[in-house]
Amino acid sequence: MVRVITTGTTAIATAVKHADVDVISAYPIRPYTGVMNELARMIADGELDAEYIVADSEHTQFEIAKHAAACGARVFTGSAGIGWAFAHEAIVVTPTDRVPVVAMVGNRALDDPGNFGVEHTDVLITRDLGWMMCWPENPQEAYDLTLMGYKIAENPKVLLPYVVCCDGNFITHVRFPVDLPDEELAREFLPPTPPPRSNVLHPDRPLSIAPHVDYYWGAEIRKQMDQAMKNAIEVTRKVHEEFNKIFGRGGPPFIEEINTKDADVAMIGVGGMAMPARAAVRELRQKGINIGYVKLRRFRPFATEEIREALRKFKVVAVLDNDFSFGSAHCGGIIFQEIRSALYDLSEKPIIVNYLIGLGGREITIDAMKSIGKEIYEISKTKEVKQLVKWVGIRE
Amino acid sequence: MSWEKIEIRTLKDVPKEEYYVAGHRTCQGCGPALACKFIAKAAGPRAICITATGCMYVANCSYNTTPWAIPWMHAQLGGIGSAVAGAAAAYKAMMRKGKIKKEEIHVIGLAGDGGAADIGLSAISGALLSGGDHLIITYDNESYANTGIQASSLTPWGAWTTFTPPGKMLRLGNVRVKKDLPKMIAAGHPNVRYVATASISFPFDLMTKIRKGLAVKGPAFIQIHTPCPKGWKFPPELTVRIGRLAVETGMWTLYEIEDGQFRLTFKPPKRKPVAEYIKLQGRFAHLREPDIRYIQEQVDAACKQLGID
Amino acid sequence: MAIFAVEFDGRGVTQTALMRAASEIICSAADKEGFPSLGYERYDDAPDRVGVPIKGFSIISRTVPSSYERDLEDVAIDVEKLSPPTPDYSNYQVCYDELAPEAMLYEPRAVDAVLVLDDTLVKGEEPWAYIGVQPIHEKLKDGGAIIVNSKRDPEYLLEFIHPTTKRYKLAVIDADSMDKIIILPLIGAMLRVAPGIVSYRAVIATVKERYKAEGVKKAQVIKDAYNKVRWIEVPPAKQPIQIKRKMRLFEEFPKWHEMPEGIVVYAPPVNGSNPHFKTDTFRTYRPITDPNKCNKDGLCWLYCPDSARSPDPETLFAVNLEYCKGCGVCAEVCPTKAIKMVNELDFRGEKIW
Repeated sequence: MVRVITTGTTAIATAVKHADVDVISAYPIRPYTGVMNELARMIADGELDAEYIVADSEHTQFEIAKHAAACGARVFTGSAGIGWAFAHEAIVVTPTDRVPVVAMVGNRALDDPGNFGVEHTDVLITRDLGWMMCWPENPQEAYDLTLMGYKIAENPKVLLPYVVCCDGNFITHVRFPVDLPDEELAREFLPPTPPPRSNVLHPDRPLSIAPHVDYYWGAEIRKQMDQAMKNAIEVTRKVHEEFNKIFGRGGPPFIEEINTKDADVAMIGVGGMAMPARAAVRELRQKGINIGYVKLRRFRPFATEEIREALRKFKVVAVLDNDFSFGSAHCGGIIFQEIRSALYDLSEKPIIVNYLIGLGGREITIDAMKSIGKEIYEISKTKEVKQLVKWVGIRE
Repeated sequence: MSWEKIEIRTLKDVPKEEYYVAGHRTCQGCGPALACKFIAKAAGPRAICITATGCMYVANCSYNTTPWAIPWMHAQLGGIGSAVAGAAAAYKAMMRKGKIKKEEIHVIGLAGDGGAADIGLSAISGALLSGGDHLIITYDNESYANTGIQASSLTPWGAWTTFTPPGKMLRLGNVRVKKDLPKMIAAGHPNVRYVATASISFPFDLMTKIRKGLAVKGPAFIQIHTPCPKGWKFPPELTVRIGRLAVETGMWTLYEIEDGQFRLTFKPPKRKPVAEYIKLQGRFAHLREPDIRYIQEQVDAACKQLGID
Repeated sequence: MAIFAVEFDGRGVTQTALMRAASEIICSAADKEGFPSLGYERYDDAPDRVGVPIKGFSIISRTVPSSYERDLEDVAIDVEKLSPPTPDYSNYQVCYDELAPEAMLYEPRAVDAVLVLDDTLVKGEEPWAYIGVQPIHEKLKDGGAIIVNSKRDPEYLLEFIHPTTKRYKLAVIDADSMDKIIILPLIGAMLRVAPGIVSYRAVIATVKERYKAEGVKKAQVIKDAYNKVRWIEVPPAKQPIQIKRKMRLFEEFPKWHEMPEGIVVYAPPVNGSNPHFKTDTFRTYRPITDPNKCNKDGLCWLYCPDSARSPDPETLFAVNLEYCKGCGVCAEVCPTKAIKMVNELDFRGEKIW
């Protein structure tokens, strides 16, 4: 094992190298590009043996990845913001073709206005389509979740694509100490060749993949996807277990509870905002406010049971969304909608409020987190919600 | 190489085997279906075929059944270049790294004129530059036939389509000139060692070109003229005759560009008037004599330039 | 209150526009009487392909069937003088509500009449993969009518039709010889053998309006067909009925967990054929090779777009009749003109079922 000081993109590139990926398709868009720069360097320097295709667009990138994976190769690709949107046709068909593509998104606000800052809406437009989605808190987790991604996606019970969503700048561009295992250990966890599966394109076993279907078949094919996503929950648990055993870290599969013991109230969110949240929670606790933070590591599959168990004990939960869903129920964020819905039929459930935070890449400060903490603590006392959905730090 | 020889000169050289078998929902007399049959015959059993959205996707493969005896997969309408680039890269990497057996696998991408010349042009250009070992084929039936005959950039001047209907105000139908895709490919991608045009009515020439395109190292591109009874409005038994007339009149030309060297592979001994081709097709029924004369002039000029006359 | 439905069976591309016109005429006629209707071409048939069997429908919701006796009186009147019906919209909303069960379906639940534009379709239809052959009377109500555009006798056609426990009328009208808009004679014949769906008077008014200057001429075609149509009453077949190429029922399709994952279909063997999609019902004409003229050059085999011919010259490049679509390319390319295209119904005694 080596400890290096490195960014999220480089950490992911190392995981891709350790996975002995065969085909990479690249197209530049900030802030994910660094991972492709690093992979290109690795190939040029002979550290990684892979076909690296300089694509002409994001659509091409994802179509390349899909077909290379359909031929049995282990692949890597990625994008960010509006690039992810441009690729979306190919992104749509990747899960339905049941190919284990692994990708990275450098979360970035969608155009217009052109903006390099973080928003999670780019990848969340894909939330219903069969991609597994996870958010690392830091470059270390970016490495871990990427390596685990191949193992989960390639499991014959799953065979769905997997995307590692990294906050632009805060994870993609910020250096952080990362433990990188030796290649041999990584390969012990993830052998270079994926487990065999039936839907591989090769002359030895001729078959047709993804022909046109009429209405006699479409629902059954959707149902297969539904089952694969359900299977992914159990497979993810097992892969985490194995990862923890081999590497001595890796954390829980779906949610990590931070300072939630005896907490009256909690905040929940994805990605790098767990860092300021940790600090805010600690400081509030010192002032006698019993608050915790729940880090949602994976949004797809959505671990309904775990999330209900984790949140039902609180009086108030604040969902922090670095995304938007204009015109949705209560005009709240995407994660808010889902968490509220997951807890709806509990007889005893917390009050759930929503904060839209960090939009347009604005800094998520400890002060902002602390005032959210104080507000929800107040709600826990008064049981009175003055504003269900709040925009944090908006000039008004 | 998968075959004893590349050249197919007579019927004896044509493989008896069918890799694109009976049982597909293409039109009676479908030109593109005939192209699929010839492509598969020429390529043989160690090939895979990826097909972009279009007639040869929707009509050919209906779920839980398939006419393809070789591996086949669907690619998105604009994704044929990307699909073959990905497949070729996958085999290359896995063979080099010893993950699969080293052998020759022919990667073929098939797209219609819309999928190749319109929405998929950028991806084809990218794939050709990336240098993977694959063959991209356009079956050119001069319209978006699967969606009900809409104009593509390969629809000829003066043709009826549902997007270019001749009417009282707009008499001519399609007034865009047909994009010269193979020349554009050849001129813009000097690394591509084989670019050719073919016709389903000249199957020996067509199958030879398929093999040449597959045998050459790196990417290759072939555009096949495939008459479409539905879109061109002619009785289905005339498919082969109309394909032949296209070449005999000079409305379509057969050539190959091998390592930059242009060569006509068929030269009509005496060109027939374009009217013989045009008058068999309902899509040109609204054209008047001066319009046909105009087409004749355009064709004459093009044939002169190509060295046919 | 009653729902009436008419089915049109024709061939893709060449007859699509005619079928649309037929549906429009019947729905317009219903509207002229004040009754709501639905008209559509079957969605799964699109994109239609040349020769593929396709279907269209008109569905009408009315308070009472139109009167056969009234039709007979109206037929006696000169079409030019026959006035349009007076629409009665008083029951429109009630009828609209009755029509509701027919909405959001790809096909009506049952039909009163089947109008067949190409008589070779009486053998049954396999329009898409996997479902197998739909008999021509698949949707026909007991006691309904099949009206076929044909020069042949109903008794002759009956030999080709799947046996069924339904009782029905089998009518023929030689529409091809009467008008190039062959649906007009078929509709005229329908008014006679399947009365009650729409009134004669409403159809005549619709046709006169639709064809403007030619309206009276076309209305006369309807009238002539009404008078000319010949039919037989087909009694129910005795049980059990042996059918070798059955239609596959939706319930018999594999369940979701029985299907291979990843939208995968296993390939047919080389030189084989797609076992779950036979394309013989696309065929109106069958290629027959004259052994004395055949020079065995093999062009028919080479140019067959459906790979339906054997490469063996000794069999005269035998046609696989389960797959030949009857396009006629082989006959066209044959330099010795050894191949003739012969109407499918000339092959008596051959049953698809």
